[in-house]
Amino acid sequence: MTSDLKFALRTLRKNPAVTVVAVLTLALGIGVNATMYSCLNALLLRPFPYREPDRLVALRDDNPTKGINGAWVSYPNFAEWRASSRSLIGLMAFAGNSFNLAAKDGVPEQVDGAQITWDTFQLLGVQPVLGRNFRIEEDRPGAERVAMLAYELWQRRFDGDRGVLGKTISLSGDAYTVVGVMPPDFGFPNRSALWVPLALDPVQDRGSHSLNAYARLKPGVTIEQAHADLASISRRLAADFPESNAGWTLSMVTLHEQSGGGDYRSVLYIMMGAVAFVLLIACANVANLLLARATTRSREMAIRAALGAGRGRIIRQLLVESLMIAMLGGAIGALFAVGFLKLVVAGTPSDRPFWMVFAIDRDTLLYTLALCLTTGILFGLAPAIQASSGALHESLKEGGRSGGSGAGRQRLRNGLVIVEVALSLVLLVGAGLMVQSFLKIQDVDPGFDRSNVLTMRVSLAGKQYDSVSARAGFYKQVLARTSALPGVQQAAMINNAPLSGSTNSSDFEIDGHPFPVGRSPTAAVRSVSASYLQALRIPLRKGRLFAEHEAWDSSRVTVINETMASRFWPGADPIGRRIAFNGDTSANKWYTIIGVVGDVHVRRLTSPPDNDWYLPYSAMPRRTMTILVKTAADPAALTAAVRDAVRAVDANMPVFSVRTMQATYESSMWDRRLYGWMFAAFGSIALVLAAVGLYSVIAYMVAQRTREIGVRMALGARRVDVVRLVLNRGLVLTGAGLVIGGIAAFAVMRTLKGLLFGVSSAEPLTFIGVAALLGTVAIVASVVPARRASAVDPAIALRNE
Amino acid sequence: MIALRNVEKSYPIAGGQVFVLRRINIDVKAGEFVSIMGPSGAGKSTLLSVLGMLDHQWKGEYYLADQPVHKLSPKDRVALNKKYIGFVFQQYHLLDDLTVQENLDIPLSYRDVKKDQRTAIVADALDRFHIVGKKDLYPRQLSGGQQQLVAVARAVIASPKIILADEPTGNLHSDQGREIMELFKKLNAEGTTIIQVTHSDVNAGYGNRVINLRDGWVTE
Repeated sequence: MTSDLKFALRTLRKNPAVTVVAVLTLALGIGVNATMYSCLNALLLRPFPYREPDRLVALRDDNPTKGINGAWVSYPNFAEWRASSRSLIGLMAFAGNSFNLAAKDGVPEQVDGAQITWDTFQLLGVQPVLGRNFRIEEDRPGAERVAMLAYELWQRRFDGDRGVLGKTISLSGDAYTVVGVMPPDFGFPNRSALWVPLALDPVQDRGSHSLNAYARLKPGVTIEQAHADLASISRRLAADFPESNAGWTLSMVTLHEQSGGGDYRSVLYIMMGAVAFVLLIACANVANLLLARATTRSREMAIRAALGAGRGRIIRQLLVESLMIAMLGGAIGALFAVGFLKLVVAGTPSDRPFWMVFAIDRDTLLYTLALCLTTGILFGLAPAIQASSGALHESLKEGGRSGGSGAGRQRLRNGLVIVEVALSLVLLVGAGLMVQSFLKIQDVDPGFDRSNVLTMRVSLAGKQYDSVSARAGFYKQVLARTSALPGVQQAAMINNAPLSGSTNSSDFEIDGHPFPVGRSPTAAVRSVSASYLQALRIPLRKGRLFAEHEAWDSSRVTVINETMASRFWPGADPIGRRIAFNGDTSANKWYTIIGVVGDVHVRRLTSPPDNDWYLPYSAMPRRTMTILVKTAADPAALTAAVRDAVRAVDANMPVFSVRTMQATYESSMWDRRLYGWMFAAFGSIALVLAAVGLYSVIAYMVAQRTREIGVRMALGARRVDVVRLVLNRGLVLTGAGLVIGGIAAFAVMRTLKGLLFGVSSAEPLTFIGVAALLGTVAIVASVVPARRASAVDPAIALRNE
Repeated sequence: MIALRNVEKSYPIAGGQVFVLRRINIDVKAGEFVSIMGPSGAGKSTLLSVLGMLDHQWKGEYYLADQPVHKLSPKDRVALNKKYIGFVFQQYHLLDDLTVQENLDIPLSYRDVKKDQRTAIVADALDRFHIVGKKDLYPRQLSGGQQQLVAVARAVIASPKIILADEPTGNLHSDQGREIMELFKKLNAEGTTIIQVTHSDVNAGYGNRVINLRDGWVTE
């Protein structure tokens, strides 16, 4: 084996051009595969960093009647499940929350945290590195306030001081005692920097689905058994509380499904398929190179056989060479993967959950190693078998010249090129459709003007903002100060800016149009200042917009969007009609519709507009709001001035999530952009590899047929005849690849349907365009060897022979 | 040592078969030095390939050291080849990317001889064929005669019972050719059976028997 290795190394050194092309080709193929595996690992494969994570499940509420899937759960229902279940070790509930953390240097900081049930960390199986967990008595309304810190916050804000335990910190104006510090790189559920007990009163609105819930299964209990256990409790609750629970059913999913893995699963598998295609093309290319070299080495193989080498021994020798190429390609591919992964991560949102780590880790390296071994054998075996078979004595008879290439070997090489072209066509059609989808999304009118708009969030925590008037007062002052800033055209606010990823929805009822129990419709509630609709240039279709005073006083007026108007008042005028929150029993619950405005894509550009229900701030005085500033010039330049305007009203009030509306708009398409770019990259690599493959086959054919070309020219063939002869070969192979690839692409693209937007999976122009592109590349790849063939001097060619 | 019975080899062509070897019946005893002669296209090299088990596409019976080669699997034929046969070619067929020493090592490595033993055997052969000074040179750095000398050394290094030589002096000038033939004579005298293909009556004169081939038939 040592001598095999030594000889393989020498052979590779002897043909540096072949070696470099083969190694780089494989490095590209292995690099993109290692990158995608790393993504798959981060999202789907790597176990969650909890004890026995496969025993943890997420609970979700579904309401098929309303088309709601995967809603959170309500605390009263959760409390009942926790008390009555027999199949679970325990249940935990949690909700994300933001806290204003008073800082030592006087600058308040907004930190993301979570409220959790007291035994959450015990059920997860993660222990604090300092201090203790929460206690049951701390998870009750009115209990002493305690907090646990994330390791990073402890290091950053408290310098890793172990004396932090027992100290008091100010969170949103309230004093909390620090009781523990969690381990490094732990930010359950997403990127929490601190945790406080949930401390909810079980007597809550049973219809408020505001909590995430996980459960740990008892040993030996399956997810189906646990689901049946809790479903029976849910059925009882639905019978006892039909108003809130009718129509709702419980579902149980794994943590990966709960955490978006389900959504990403199909995309990831499609991407893995795409990179597998790239790798197959790379393997086909390298196999072609090695087949060409095997032809020139047939004499060497014949001598080895004559000296006593068995076929297995010759195959082993050649496989050692191909594995060496694969390992070199793998090593460089792993380096490529590091770079590729940085590009992928740069294209994803920065607020990823703590467990979603994109890295070239041990698993990825093992995967890469397995790829190297597999590809080394895959592309090396055919040339090795070819080289070790054949008529050995014929090779020896031909002496020092390269042996005959053989029809079988030529067929294999041609077949590989056809496969390359076919696979490239599939990838390029995929890339074309993805990129078109992305462009189509950019064509979607979001329904508002995103230019020159700065947004930032403010959260009014603490006792001083318990009253509605205090909150309204704060926001009124902030808007007044901001509006007065030079360069500001309009200042406005809303609970959740469009495309920011958050919405608040609520059931509503229509005056004079009762809905059956559990069937009331839902609308996205948009709590706004009067200026909001004008600031974002959302067009008025009917009626009027809010007057300034209506945002702050108790005016019971509302504005709806066109979708809601046409859905509930088709062909009629909704102005003057009244709607109310479902379940509101107060006397003046009705809001009169005063205007209808254009639709806005609130959730995603690719989702159809929801029912949008705009309410004056006074009607829904949220603590956390988004301030929007419409400016005359670059909005980002006003960031500091707007921050100062907020601090002028409350010096301890942090602003957070500062970004332009344009940035929000762009980040709402991150996934489509990323898919488009990745497919385009895979397609480009495939195109280059296919071109190289075609070139090498045609060039090799020309080299092999030099004598024949010389004879043809001696017999009177013109240069153009020789060029045609060579080009024909290239075009026949390409044509065969395009036909096979076209059929394959038609089938494969159907699986992409879910990722496409505004473009058919069988879009003919894309198919034709890609085929034309590949055809052009094939002609270019064939022209160089064709010209070389036409320059053959018949005298020299025949003399050499 | 060697017995061929009705060995035939043919290629299919449109409308029939073209025969390269016809009903070959030959016996070669241990220690013989046999020359196969005949015009170009007579089937001499093909016969040598059959004898050396490089060519498996033939019919008939072939016994080597009482082993029925015609019944053996390719794997067993390789084993038999390793045990009995050494090859010398007209074009030398040294492996270009291996040094003289490594070329000599190759047949031993294919016979799974241990590394330290191989080193000793190769050193002995280098000494015996007076090519110690060339051991680190590559074939392209040697003259034709030197290359053929190495090729003969490589053929005998695994102590084969039979040497098959295909026009071993075809590419050499007369002095070098003579030197190689003297070497074969010496090896034959030491007990090695030698079968050579040659056009040269002079070279045939080193042997003790000639087999003539014409159009695939043994004519004598």
